Amino acid sequence: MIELKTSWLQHVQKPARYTGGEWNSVIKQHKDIDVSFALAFPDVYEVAMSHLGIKILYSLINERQDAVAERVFAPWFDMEEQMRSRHIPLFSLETKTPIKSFDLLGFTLQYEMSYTNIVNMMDLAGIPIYAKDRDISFPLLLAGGPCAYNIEPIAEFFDIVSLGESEEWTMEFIDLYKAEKANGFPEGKEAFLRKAALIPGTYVPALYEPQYNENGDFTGIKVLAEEAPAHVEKRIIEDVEHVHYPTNFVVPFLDVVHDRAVLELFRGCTRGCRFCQAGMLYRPVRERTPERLVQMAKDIIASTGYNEISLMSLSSADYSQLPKLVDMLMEEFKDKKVSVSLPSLRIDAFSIDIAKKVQQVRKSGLTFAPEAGSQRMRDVINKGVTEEDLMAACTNAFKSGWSTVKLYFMMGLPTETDEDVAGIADLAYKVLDLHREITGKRNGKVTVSVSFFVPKSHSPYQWYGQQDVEEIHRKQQYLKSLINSRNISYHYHDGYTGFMEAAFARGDRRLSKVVIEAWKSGCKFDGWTESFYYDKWMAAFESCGLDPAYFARRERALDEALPWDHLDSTVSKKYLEMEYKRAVEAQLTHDCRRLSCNGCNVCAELNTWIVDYAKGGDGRDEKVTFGLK
Amino acid sequence: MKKLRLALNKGPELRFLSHLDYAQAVERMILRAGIKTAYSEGFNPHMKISFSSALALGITASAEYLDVDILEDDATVEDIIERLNKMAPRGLEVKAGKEIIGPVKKMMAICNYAIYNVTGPINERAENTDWEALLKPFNEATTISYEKVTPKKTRIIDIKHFVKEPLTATVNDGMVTITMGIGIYPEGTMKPGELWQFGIDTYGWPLSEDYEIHREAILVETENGRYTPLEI
Repeated sequence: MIELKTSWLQHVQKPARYTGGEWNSVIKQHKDIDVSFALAFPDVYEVAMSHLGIKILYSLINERQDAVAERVFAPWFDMEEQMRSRHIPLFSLETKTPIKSFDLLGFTLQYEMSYTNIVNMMDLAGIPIYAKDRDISFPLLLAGGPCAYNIEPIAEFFDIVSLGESEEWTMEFIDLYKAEKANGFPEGKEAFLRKAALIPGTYVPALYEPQYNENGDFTGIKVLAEEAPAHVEKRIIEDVEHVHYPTNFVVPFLDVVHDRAVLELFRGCTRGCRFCQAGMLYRPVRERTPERLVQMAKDIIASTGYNEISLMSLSSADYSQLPKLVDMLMEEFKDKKVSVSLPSLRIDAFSIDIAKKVQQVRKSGLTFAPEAGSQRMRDVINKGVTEEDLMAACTNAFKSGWSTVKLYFMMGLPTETDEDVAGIADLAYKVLDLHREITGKRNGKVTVSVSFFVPKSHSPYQWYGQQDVEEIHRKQQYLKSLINSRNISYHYHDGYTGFMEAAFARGDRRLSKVVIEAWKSGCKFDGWTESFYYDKWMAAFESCGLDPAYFARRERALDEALPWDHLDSTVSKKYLEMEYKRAVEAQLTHDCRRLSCNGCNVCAELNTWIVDYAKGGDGRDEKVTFGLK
Repeated sequence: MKKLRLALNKGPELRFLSHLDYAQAVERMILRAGIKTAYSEGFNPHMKISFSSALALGITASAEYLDVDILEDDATVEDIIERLNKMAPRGLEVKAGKEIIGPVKKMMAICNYAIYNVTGPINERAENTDWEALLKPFNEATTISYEKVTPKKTRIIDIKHFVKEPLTATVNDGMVTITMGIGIYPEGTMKPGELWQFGIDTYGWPLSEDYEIHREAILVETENGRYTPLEI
């Protein structure tokens, strides 16, 4: 156990990031436990503690008598400096146990620009970074989360990758680990990894070898062991109604980014926005019943003392029972000063009605995401939203007393022209004019936030070459020149982070050297603007003889082998290809949730069904599904 | 509705909570315990609760006091304390409490005296220090001027205006604890860490910046003596 002395700890920023002891945190004696699991998030406490996935796994693992889960996050710069000068290794929050003495160390991969933090945390823990340099005496390094679907740029660091929703997988894996550990891992680490590869949803990077041609193009992956599947298929939880959900959230002492109870209404989203990786990865849609959700909410509030519940999903307003659920929650908590919040709103009048209900007094700002400025562009990305929808939503909102609207857009989408960019300014002015028309006042506020589009693997835009940073900067300035109102504020970031993110989002294993080089030159917390160093990243690429533009900006051929083809989201490549072609033609594809199957292949391949209570009954929609091959 | 005054500790586990973090932890404990409390009116209702002091980050306390308006007329103080302690995080315990009848002044305004124990290692060369003799010049001085530096301004204060009682030292296993009684007045106060550092700089106390501060008591000083907020 590591001792943190007050004399120096009181001089770092927010020492409570490192001291644990929060309500509902779990302390177990490691000597009484068979399997110890450190759950790592490669960012600072306030960000990490806002992540639902870690809360689910923490609670799930600690339910077991034979296992313990503890948390570990990235120390901020000042704390790292103290730890290094005092030779304090990375430790867990709960029992201050060195991370090196855990059995398992699992990172969640939420964002490509957190990769240097993983390296830094491993280094602080005293654990070799490459899997090949670690024998079984070191913790096994695990990964999961959305970036695991193309973990290739950092695959060589990890022993085991879990694809998809991991509640069941985690239990199966711990069972296997426990049994093998009890036997003393008789045939060593590689034998164990081969056994683990047999658990569905497991990717063991060491059992695969990428192939390249003489031009340095990726040509495919060679499977090195018979236990390793050629395609690692993702796991899903079919029965989200009954799967374990934490009600005993750890309650942070510090103000964290999302400091409230989180209620997950459903998983998956099939609106089919073509830029959206999550919309492809988490299919199919599976809802929980409002009764179950209210019970969860009651238990969470009782166990945590939170006074706010956030209704979370990829698109919460699409929950079939939302009005009923909101009424039930309002009734349940009406005397308890517990408020309900909706993090994302669909662009329609219905969503505003719901927002009115939950925000009965406070009229804080409303946020909408039209994503693109022109109708043509919105059709290209299959965002099934029209200007009329946005105006209807804003009309309702302004009539109900809101005066601030935030609009999110992307720039650098396929087929984008200056006309589409100008459409962003146009839309902002229309919303502002609408406010004046309805209220007769000139105090309306529109915030326009524009991000740089990063094409992701497993989405219809996985072949698309990202636009040049210079071109994006030109468009940013062009848009700026079109916005001349004090009542419209315009936010954007420089494009370099998006460029690096794009290189890693669709990179291959050769990039692991780049991550190490960038980290050696001082890169960490790259997702934080103030600590992102573009020149260091470019130097790191150069020293490895690689060009980020090759990974980020090159339009890939449809028949080209992709470095992540073996990591199977179960959406067929043919379907993505069809969607990409339809995008260029600005053709819409409908949401299959309540209509016919489009052939994405997920239900067919996983032999599963949509759960949606719109039609009543048990919600199961076992329609005919198929996959485009 | 009735007003309860409770005494809670802030143990070493919670040392690094700022006053606002600590207050939030207490509120959430009250909510978990299901104790019905009064809320303010307005757009952003908040629990009617007020603390005796804003304890700085890094400092532990034997007792921190709070007043809270509760809507449970039938519940006894003992019952409330028991329910709270079942829902208290490690390092926080409700020690005592009583119902307050009649109008009350804000505790922040009436608490004007605090006793701190500041503890740190003694320099190796000075293990046999006669602490009583060492503290004597400070204790016997009638005025001691001190340049107090805050981010906003620098001004000269008289330490003895705030520290009227003699300092005492207790030595234990290479560590010394200096007990300081410090007045908290409308015109200001002296921080225990400042006094510790002042002793090192001015009187050569054989100590370092390695110290921990514990607030032993926060009191109301009147002409008749000193009382805890529960006694007054």
